[in-house]
Amino acid sequence: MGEAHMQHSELPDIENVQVVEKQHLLQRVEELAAQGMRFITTTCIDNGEQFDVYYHFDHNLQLTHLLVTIDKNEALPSITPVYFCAFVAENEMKDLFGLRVDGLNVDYQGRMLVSEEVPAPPMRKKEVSERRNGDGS
Amino acid sequence: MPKMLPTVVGNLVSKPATRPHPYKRREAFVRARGRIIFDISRCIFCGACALRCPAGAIRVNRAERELVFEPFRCIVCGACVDGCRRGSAQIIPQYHSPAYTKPEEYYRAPVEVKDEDQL
Amino acid sequence: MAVKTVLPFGPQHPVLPEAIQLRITLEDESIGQVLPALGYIHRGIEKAGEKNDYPLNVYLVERICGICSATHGLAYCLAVEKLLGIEPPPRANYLRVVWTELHRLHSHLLWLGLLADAFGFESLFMQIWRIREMVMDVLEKTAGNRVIISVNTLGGVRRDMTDEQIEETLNTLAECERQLNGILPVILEDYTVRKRTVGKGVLTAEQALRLGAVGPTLRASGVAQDVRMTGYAAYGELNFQPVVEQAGDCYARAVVRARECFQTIDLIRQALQRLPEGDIQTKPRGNPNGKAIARVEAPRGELMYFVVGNGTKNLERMRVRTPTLANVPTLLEMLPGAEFADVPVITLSIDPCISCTER
Repeated sequence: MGEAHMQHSELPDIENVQVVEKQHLLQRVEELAAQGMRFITTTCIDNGEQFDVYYHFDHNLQLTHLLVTIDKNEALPSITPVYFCAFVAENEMKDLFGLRVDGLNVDYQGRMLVSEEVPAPPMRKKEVSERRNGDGS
Repeated sequence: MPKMLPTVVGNLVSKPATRPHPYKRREAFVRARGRIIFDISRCIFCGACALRCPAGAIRVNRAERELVFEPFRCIVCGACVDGCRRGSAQIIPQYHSPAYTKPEEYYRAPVEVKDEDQL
Repeated sequence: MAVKTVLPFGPQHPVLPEAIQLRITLEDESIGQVLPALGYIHRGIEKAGEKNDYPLNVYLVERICGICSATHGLAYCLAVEKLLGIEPPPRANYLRVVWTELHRLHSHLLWLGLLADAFGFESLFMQIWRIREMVMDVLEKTAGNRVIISVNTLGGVRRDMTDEQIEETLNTLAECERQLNGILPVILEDYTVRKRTVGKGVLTAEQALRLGAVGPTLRASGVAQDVRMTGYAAYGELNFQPVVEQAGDCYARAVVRARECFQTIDLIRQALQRLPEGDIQTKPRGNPNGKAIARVEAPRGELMYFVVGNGTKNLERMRVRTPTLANVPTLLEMLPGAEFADVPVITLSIDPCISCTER
């Protein structure tokens, strides 16, 4: 199977993504709540240096997304004052990625899914100490 | 009482709705996924089945023409059957019976005799 | 003076089908505050999805949940097909609809039986599961297995249905419909059942939307949202409307699911009558690259997959949002103020599937 020789602009991507700074996040979410959007979930992607956090919303089967990029040791404000149901998704991000979220109304302190014996957040990328290629280099 | 009487009499004289299971088993349906068997005479040891197995239940050694299959790791998904080009991996509809230990199945290719003098 | 007790409901309880714990603060038989504790079935599937090659993930994803297994496989295949840029042939789309709807029928029948069991009506539970056995036989004859049917693959379906199997399916569905028509009035118009479900666990439409409820829980409160109307996989060519009720209590949710059983049988008949000829799979080529989202209507609500590929044969990120994860916060608003004896019925009415929730 050959590799796909595609330009970067031709890669399939999701539509309707708005990039938001961390300071304006709560304000944008309040605007969306006033329009009657339903909260779906959050997704956190570890891209090496930083975390990309997506917030997904839906209105009459049309999707809207917000994207916040933060450093690994920064803290995000929680959106639970606006959407009460977000505490499940934000606690899960806390457990699995070690992302700090401030102001949660129901806070499991990083132990909702992950038990006490696990030493480090499981889904972060591990540090590469040695790399060997298939041809022995 | 008179409303229930037909039901009561009907239940007394009709035969049971269940099957007496260990003595009379149901036949497996034709396309059911029961277990995987290997017909080693058709195998060329290409290893396509081992690449596709999501549970890691097949190990193929091409140099020594040997195939190891662990039936208790297998989830009977049929990916190996779809990927085998020679028809060596097959699905049969009967389930694997329970066992006390977890065996592994070793398959070795039959040795070809090229010369009459080798016998 | 009210006496306060904290009572753990779950993880092992005779009425709960799955392992979730609700810490209920009781004040003399009425409920004050509820705190859920998840994490009993967390298996780390999102992490395992990054380690597997992308074709093997179909088998991993089907085993997240037993009752909605075909819909997980369908959503993953739809998302990765968008990344690879392939389209399944029309016959495969119709076959996917048939198997997904059969799956929805067996799931709703399972739930109706569990509702009868929740207030002790065991003989009705057994009768409804007996109808469900006919559906399981159809699944085993056509797809291969009873529960994890494993028919979806990248680019289409793995098996075809012959003409005699189609006829046998239609006959079995006619028999199911006849028996359901005989038994559903018992559960929906019985005085005891109504006394235990009408007016319990009321959720208004604004509450449901604000809390993010999905599926029959949302439709029973009067909001007509059904992800099948977006028209993936041949649903755009079939004729149906979302099933909506207005009351928002447990009885309305039971009625929605019962009516959806009949809608499902009708959809399968439409799809089987319009089945086009052709092949059943287009071969996938290349490696996935980019981002894609796929949404599918599972029996419990809206299921969303967000898949990120990076050009190699492993995926970068596979994010699964299951419907029960969105329905659990509604419990925290429905339960306070209710009586303690209503807790099993209300918890069951959102149809919890905890193995989906904590993949």
